[in-house]
Amino acid sequence: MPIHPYKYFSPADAARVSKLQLHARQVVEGVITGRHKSSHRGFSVEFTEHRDYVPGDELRHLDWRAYARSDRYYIKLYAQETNLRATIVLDNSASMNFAGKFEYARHLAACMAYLLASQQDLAGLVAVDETVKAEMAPGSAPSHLDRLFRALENLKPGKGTDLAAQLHALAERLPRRGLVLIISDLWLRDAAEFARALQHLRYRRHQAAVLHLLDRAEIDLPYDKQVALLDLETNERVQIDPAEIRDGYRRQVEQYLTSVRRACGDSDVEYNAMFVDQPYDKALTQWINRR
Amino acid sequence: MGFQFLFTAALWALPLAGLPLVLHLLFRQKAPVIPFSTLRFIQSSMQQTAARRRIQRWLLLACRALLVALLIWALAQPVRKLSANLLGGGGSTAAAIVVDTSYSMMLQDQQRSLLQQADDDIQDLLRTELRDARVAIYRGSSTAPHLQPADTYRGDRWEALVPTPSPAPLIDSIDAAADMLTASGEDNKWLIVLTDSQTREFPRPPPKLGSARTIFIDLHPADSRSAAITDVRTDPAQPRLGIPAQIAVTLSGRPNDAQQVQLQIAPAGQAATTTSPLPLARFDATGRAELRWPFSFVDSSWLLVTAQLTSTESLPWAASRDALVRIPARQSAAVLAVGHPNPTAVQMIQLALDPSQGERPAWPLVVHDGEVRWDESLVVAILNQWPDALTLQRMTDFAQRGGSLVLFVQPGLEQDWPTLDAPRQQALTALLPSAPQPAPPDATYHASIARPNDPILAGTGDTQLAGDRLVVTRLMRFSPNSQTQAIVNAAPTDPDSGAELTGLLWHKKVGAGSVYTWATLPDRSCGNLRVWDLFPPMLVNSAATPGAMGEEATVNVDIGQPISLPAAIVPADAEVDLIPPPPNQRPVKVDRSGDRYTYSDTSQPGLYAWRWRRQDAQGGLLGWSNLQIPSAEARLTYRPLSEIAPDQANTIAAHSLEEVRQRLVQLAQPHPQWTLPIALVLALLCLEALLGAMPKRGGGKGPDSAHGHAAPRPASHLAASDSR
Repeated sequence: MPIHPYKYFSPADAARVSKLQLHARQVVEGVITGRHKSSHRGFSVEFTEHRDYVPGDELRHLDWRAYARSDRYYIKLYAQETNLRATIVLDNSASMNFAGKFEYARHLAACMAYLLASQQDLAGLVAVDETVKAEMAPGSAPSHLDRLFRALENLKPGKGTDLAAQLHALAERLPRRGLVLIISDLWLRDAAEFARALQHLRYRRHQAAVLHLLDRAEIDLPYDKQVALLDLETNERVQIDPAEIRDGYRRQVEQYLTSVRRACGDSDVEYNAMFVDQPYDKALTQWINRR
Repeated sequence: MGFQFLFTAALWALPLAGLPLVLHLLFRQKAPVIPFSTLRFIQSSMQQTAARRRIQRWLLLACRALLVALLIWALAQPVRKLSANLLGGGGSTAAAIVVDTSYSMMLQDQQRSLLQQADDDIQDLLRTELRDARVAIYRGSSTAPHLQPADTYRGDRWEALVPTPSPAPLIDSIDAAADMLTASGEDNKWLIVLTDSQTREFPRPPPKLGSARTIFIDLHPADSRSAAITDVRTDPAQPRLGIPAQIAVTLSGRPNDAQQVQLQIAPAGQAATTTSPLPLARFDATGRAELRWPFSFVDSSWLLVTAQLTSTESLPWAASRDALVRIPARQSAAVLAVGHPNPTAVQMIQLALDPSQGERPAWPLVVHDGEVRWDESLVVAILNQWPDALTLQRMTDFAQRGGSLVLFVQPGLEQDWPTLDAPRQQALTALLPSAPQPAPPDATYHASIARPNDPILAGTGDTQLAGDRLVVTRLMRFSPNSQTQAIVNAAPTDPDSGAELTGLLWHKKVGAGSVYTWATLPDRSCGNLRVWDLFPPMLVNSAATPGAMGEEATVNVDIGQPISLPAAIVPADAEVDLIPPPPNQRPVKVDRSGDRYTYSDTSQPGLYAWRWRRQDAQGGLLGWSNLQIPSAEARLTYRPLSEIAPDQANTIAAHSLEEVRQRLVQLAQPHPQWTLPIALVLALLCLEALLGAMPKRGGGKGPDSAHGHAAPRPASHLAASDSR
């Protein structure tokens, strides 16, 4: 029996990830009391505001000092803290199969799920290409993590990508005010539609973050001889002399990446580009520490 | 002219030019297939560069194919040679021969004149290269010839070349010959020019002939500066009897050389009477020299002044040169005193007009005493009072007829001007520069010469400072107008005196004569005019000097130019004959044309005598005309042949017919033309290198390393981890 039965998560990963803490940047709505700020007013220790007393309120929350000063009844309200409901959206398209991006993405997803569970937050998984290939509701129990890790192992790269449509659907499907973590190479047909999907998530008060996986070959086109490139999603084949088109290709890719970054920025979505030549744990640590 | 090849067999390898295409097809690269995330940007980039890449690839292929073809072409050793028919041969040939027959072609070189050399060369060409051609020979500025078979000019039918006057430059004949060749329909066209390349013959470049070839044969020897007389003249141009003049002789020759010149003066049409050896003419660094010989003409007649070089080195046609001079006869003069002038002033004027008082026969004027007859040439009137109407009428008539009237007016007379009746004022105003102006304030005036080139100052030497020596204290003011000219001005010595600059000596044309008005008197009370050094010669020059025949230009004329005679001097009902110079001195009847008799067939230099005759056998001499070779023929200024005929493909410039033949033989020999192939190969190599190098920019790596998980390349322009 192997010491660690999971292909995409190891005890070493657990040791490294357990030192990290992922905080929501904005208020979220959880199911239990946790370390994240809730949108609801509760009765914890952090005072937020007064409101008028209405019959039925507990008298212990009555602010007697305010009554003494103003001869009116006020109830003291406190900020409520809750746990985080996170959904990891994993791009399952065929383009992710280039340069080990899909493997890298599954490692990242596993680590993120473990990290969330370890801090009593809920972690779910949605694997999408043109359709939803796998979906697991958020949870934090060890059994949930076990199912999630195994689901990651069972995923196989799909064909095309329709990430924007899937994000639109997800935005409607998910409860409000959760964390949506998108792990993708973002080689999308329509960057504008992707931007609208992010805005949809934002409209639904979700906090979104994009982990953009890239290989340097996708940006630099570093081949120096004639090659025939095979599109992993369409199976289209093109023979090129890389040196002839390199400059134009770089220019266009750069413009595209800029548009993606701008779309994320416009929707107040965290954007983080990760090159797959960098170890995933290190990349993850850098991202979380930088937040 | 075209390309030929010494190694024609090499051209069979020309199909190898397709080798690059075959190699390209045979060794096409089998590109490895690499899975890639998306081809969207790849395809977009390819669309942007597709057209350029296609052109670049075709260019590269064409460049390489051309390179191979050019190397094969070079291996075949291309040569350029003239067509087989050099001067004739295959096809019909038209040749225009333009030969310079100007007098400068009489220059001797190797015991033959250049004209004889040209003559021999043309006959040689007609016998050999041009024997089957149609030929037109342009001799100087003669009428345009037509293309005729060469036989027409050979043997007894050949007219030897003789020097002819050429008023038009040779380039005009060359242009005409070029036009004729252009219009001709022969297969081969040749323009052959034989000349001594005098600069004046080529004021513009020769025409460019498209299909015809041009041969310039420059015959002048390398060292051809021989001595020549370029000009003979008198100074002043119209000498006066007994008045000292100068004979000026201008020469050209070898720089820093010296030549002996002899001067002869003889009555026109007679043997020389006076021979004077002049001092050695020493040429300056530019090859020019001028001799001046003082001479006093003592006979009133037509004189021929001849300057002659004694050296055998001189140009035969310019070794001597003439100047025909007419010394006018003595003219009568009289002095008219109106009023009561100072006798001293009258005497001073008489002495100025004739210092010897009739003792010297060689003096232009003879002054008679007593009453004025009004048939004199010159009348000097001293006006101490305004003349009466009769005198005024006589004065006016005298001037109208062509006499010269000199008036000295008494300053202060202007006060009496208002008292004169209108007809007298009008008659006086017609003679005077204008009506007298109010008297100027008392002042001292210094004279200045306003018109130093006026004939009245001829022969008086440098007049630049002479005016300042004349001081006038009293004068009469006249107002300038369009009919009068101030020859001498008087300017106040003291600018603050209130006086103004005014004319002192005025000239006015009245009818055929002239009126000179001195606004003062040669009297002590008016200044020092009576003792001014220019006063006597100016007074003598005031006398009318009618030209020999009305116009000096008809006296000394270049051959080829028409000579003419004013009809006014011919007696009524008379016919005019012109007697040419020896040997053929048969009179030629000259018809009147307008107000002149003109003769145009002036091809023979020498003295032409104009005579008149009537039916009653009366007759006489009217004058002479001297025709000479143009002075330009004596100035040998050659233009380099390289300037006249620049080195062009269709032009051969040589100094002899033998040299032309050598050049033609050289041109007929094949000359491998390496320059063009080498240049083309180098250009194509550069282009090939450029096209081949273009795809390499940007760098890259092999496909194998691109698919790996951890690419070893350093970070790209994107940050390793970019986050917001």
